[in-house]
Amino acid sequence: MGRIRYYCSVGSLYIKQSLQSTLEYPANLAGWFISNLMQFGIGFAIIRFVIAEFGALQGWGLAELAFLYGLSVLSHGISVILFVPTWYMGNLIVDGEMDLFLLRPLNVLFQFLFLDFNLIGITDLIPGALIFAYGCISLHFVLTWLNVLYIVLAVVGGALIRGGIWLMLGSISFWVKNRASFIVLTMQLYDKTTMYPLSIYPRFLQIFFTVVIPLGWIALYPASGILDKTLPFYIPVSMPVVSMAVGALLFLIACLMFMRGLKRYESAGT
Amino acid sequence: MFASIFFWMAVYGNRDSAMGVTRESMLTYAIMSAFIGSLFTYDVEDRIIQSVRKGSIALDMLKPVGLFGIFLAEDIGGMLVALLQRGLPLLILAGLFIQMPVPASGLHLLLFIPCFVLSYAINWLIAAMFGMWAFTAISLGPMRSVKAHLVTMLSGSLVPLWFFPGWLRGVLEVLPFPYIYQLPLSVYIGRYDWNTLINQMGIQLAWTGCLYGLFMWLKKRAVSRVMVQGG
Repeated sequence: MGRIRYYCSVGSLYIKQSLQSTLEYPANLAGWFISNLMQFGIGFAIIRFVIAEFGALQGWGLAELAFLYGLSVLSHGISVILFVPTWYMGNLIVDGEMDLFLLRPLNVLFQFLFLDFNLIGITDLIPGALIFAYGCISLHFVLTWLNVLYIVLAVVGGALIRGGIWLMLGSISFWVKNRASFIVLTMQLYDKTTMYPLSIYPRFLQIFFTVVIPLGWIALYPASGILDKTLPFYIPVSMPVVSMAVGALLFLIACLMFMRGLKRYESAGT
Repeated sequence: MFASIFFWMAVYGNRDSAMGVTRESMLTYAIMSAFIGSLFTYDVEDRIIQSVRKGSIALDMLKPVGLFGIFLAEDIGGMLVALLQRGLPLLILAGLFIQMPVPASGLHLLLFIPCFVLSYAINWLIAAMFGMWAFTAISLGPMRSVKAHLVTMLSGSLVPLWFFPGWLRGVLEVLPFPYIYQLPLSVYIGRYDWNTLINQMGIQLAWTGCLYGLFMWLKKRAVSRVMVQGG
């Protein structure tokens, strides 16, 4: 019990420190806000123009696409707040900076994940929430307690899937010892598989993104579940719950992979 | 590339054409957009930012050739490598699995080439001027991603501007962005009749000239104000 309390207090200090260092540069924060607002604003506007010309995309109208897009951006925002250290894991490993974590009497994964609590992710959450709200309003979506719970589960599950995949890819650096950055690639992949229905892709890719790399669970399936869309498969549990379970499982596997990789960690060569 | 092709396939569904563009032309548009996108491998922005940060800009400036001449030469070299490493494989893959991106006619192909050269120039000049900002600002941070989003989304690289509402299209067509992707791609698929085409290429040339003028002016100012850091 005392240990948990201790971890909580250290965690909150870490967060406080990160917040202070972010707020030190308000212009930077404002810049990211403009950048993200533009990226998602224009991105969604473009979908809107295409829908206006062609009509629904695989049975998804504009309002439903806004719901999906918003949900995706929200989980993106959460994952950016929580999991940014995974982006430069390769550098930490190759430069031997993990030494610092190993020397402290705290769980290494805990220290690693709390290294950089990235307030800048909030600038993703705001446009995400706006688009999501637009979707909800135009769908006349009723925010019952159950629906709110579903949305929270979907967003958290989606963020865990995104973060879990980053953590796994980052952990590969323990074995191959290079600083390969995968962030641009995964971001593109996430965008292309979560912001509109997977059913536009050939069947084998749909199966791939459902079973092998579970990107469909980030936003598409939970959104389909909440909006009562037909799915290509049947699971007797509601989708956001499954999404949360997939996220938790994937993240757990990623953590195990991190711990195994850490055993092979041998600091910097020189 | 494949994502945007599947996107267009799904969007077109059973329709053969939209806004006067056939499904096949649209797919060609998407393939060629990925192709020219793979050739736009600019390093000039990064190069300036890095060398200003490290102070090695001083060494670059000592060399008896123009500073930006070096950057441009490096970028053109980079483009040739990208053509072999990414551009051609991309075209081959597209040809094998989707369709061969054939130009509307031989003449269109001939016109596409100068058009592409100009769009390369516009894009490079914008990147170079952007990088020059680093001479005075030191760190650009998120402004780089603002610029990247503007170029990708407003240039028609993903979705051509003819799907945008009229007022927005009117605004965008005055800006240099559509002349980076949309114009060469539209020429390639033969979207414009000859009059419009000549007109548009004229505007593109004018933009290249304007940006070049602005670039020269900024260069003179920026280079005199450069701050050399470190040692």
